[in-house]
Amino acid sequence: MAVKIRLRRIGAKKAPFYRVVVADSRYPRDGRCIEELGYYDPTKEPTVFKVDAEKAKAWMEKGAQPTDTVKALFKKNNI
Amino acid sequence: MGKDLSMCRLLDLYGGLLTDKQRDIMDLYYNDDLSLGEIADHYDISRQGVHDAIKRGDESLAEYEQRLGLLKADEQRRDEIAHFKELALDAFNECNAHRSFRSVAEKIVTLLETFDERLEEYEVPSPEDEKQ
Repeated sequence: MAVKIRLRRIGAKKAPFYRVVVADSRYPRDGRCIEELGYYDPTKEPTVFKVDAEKAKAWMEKGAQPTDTVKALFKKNNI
Repeated sequence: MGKDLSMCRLLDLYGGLLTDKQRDIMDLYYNDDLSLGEIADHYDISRQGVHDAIKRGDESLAEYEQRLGLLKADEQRRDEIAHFKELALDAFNECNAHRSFRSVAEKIVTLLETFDERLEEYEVPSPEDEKQ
């Protein structure tokens, strides 16, 4: 179990902004990701969450684990 | 324990006040969205240890904000600039309506541009711009 769906912060100081990525959990820091699924912008009101639901489902069927934060976001957005 | 992503703005502001290791752990947790277990593996410490470090960090950040209030001040500043911009825009429209005030209107344009620049610092770049 090494593949995870997680958020990765990009965006500037004062302005957090996240990409939703599929990445290997063993290399958290090297910046590589297997695939980008979408993004999450917590600064807007309401927050913007946009992902490719088909791809996300396909990855989860293959055993990719979403992190708790991502899981909560999926749930909130009915994916 | 749910992640409160508003914490990462505090981490931006006050991260430098934490110890290096604590900041790294909190950076992994909030900015790279790693789980406690993953961070624990990474640093060879217990899950509980990571949890404690993050909790202590949260408390420190909250206390810094309470005492220094930089985040709040920053938000106030943004609102103020937005308000000034509105006032300037009103003044511009009024001046522009009268021929004798055209030169004032031109000066207000410079002012508006400055406000726009200042407000841009607070904008989140759109996802299209972020594509590398």
